[in-house]
Amino acid sequence: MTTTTPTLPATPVRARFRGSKPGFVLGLVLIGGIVALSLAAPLLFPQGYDVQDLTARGLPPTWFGEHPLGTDHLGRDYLARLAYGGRTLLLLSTIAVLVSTVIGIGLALTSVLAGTWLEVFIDRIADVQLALPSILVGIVVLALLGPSNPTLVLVLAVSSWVLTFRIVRAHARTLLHRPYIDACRLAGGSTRDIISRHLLPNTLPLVLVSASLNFAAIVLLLSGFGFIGLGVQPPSPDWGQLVAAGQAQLATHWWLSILPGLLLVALLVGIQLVSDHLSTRFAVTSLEGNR
Amino acid sequence: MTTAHFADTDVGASPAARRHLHLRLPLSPRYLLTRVIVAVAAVFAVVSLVFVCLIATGNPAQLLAGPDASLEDIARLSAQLGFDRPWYEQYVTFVAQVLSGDLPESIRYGESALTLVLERIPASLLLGATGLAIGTLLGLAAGYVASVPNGRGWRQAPVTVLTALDSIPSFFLGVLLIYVFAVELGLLPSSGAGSPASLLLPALTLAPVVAAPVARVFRSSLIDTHDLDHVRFARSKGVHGLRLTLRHTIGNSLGPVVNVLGVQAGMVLGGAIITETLFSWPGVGQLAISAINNRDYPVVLAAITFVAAGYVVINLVVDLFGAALDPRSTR
Repeated sequence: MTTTTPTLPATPVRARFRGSKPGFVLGLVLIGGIVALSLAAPLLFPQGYDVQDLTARGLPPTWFGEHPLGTDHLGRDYLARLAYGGRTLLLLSTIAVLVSTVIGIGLALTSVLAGTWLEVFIDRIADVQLALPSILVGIVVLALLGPSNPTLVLVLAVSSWVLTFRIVRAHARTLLHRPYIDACRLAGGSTRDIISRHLLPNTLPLVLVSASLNFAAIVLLLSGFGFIGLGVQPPSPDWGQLVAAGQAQLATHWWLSILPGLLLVALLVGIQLVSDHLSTRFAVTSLEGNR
Repeated sequence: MTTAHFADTDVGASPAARRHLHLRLPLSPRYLLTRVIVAVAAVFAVVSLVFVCLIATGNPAQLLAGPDASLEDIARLSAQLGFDRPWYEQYVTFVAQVLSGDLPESIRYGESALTLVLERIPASLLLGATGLAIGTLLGLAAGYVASVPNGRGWRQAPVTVLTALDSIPSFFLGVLLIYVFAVELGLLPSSGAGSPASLLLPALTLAPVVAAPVARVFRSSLIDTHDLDHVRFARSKGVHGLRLTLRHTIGNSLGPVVNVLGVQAGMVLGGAIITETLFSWPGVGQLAISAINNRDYPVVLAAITFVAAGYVVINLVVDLFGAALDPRSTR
């Protein structure tokens, strides 16, 4: 088969980034650095995050030393703990974002296509959800059921589906009245065709924006749970949990609390810069319902 | 004012009916009803969530009575909260008990859980109000500085700094403040509530959450107001400087700020849980978290339900207030 699709000349990476703002590139670099550190954790530290060396307790960060970011009170290498902590954080947050996006899109399309009382019902659930702070709902569930990883993902996903739901629904509703949807119907297209060929591809940019916003919110919430002791449980390290654990030793071992916090800020700022760029790029004007 | 004007255009109405129209609610009853229903539903949702999670633990009465409770105590508690009945009766009894504040005693302190929560409320309110006040003042100042027309680049700096501070998670901002002001400089106490100075760091931790959005909204709303006809007219009469700002601009720019404050007031309440824990501030949030660590579940229930209800009520009041100030926002 001969393709007649005109092939675009390969754009060099630099040219592709020329039009974009430096903030976006900085955001990608920050996220990329943290993702790389987390992915490389098992390669850099094949022995894991829990190796104790009681002769090297509480060492401060040094350049080019054996422990570049120092050690904690049990002599465990802090860089290893931070890298493995980032792994758990990114893994759980990514799963939670995916789940919340699927819930959001599913409910949005259901309510647009089904309409009537079902839409009102889902919308009221969203209202009720927004009337409660997610951290509080999370505390109830995690305190009573125990903070296991599946429970955490569930709490995080449920806390953030409303944004995707509202954005996708608003856009899908305007799409439904476009002539090409009517044309698709007239040509015998089923609801499934309309969803998979028109609604989903057209809402994809907006889904990307809402997913990036949700990612920041979820990372923040997950590390907040870690800080109050309801997130990822020790011995597994988690940045929020490490900030809390190091707080008592701020006067003598500042790096225990400050370093995980700085990594967290870098990640959050990176996500923020990328999602700012995405929302201006795709002109998302109304981000209703984001608290 | 404007609503009354529009309501008046019905020519055929009798004078009595027209006077009646002037007195109508500043909110549409439909909007009021929807908001109230959502608020009530939200409180119910929290109580129901607590119930579902309690049941999911397998033995709620044992959990609430504590590990040292005798079998008799557990049975008594089970009967009081209705855990020995069919699930729908359990639910009704549980909701009624929680909403009437009739919770089991604290496992750790042996006092009524509700009393423990009520004792902590003034501290939480003090911290929340101080954080809100500092944040509002900082935000208004930064927004005003940044709004001056033809201003130089540095005039945007305060807003940028506040936005940057807002993007730091509150627990880490608190740790940074402790490190700088308590550990390195030794100026302020890092925890507790012994002196007025110990209020400062937790309040400063909460402030950027309020200050950053307030600054941004106030800036853009001031810039919009600068170009309104009455302000231009005042300027052409020769009114300028502080007099112009105070009499003509600021009053017209505060509306959107009130809306933002409302949303952020709720955020402060939610964020206070973490901030209180961080600074060992003796508020409801800190009580809830320490109760979780002590497995003192009656206190957890009371504190969480109370904070949730407070959050819902604050948001409801602010929403209705904002809608009454600017009915356009509800459409």
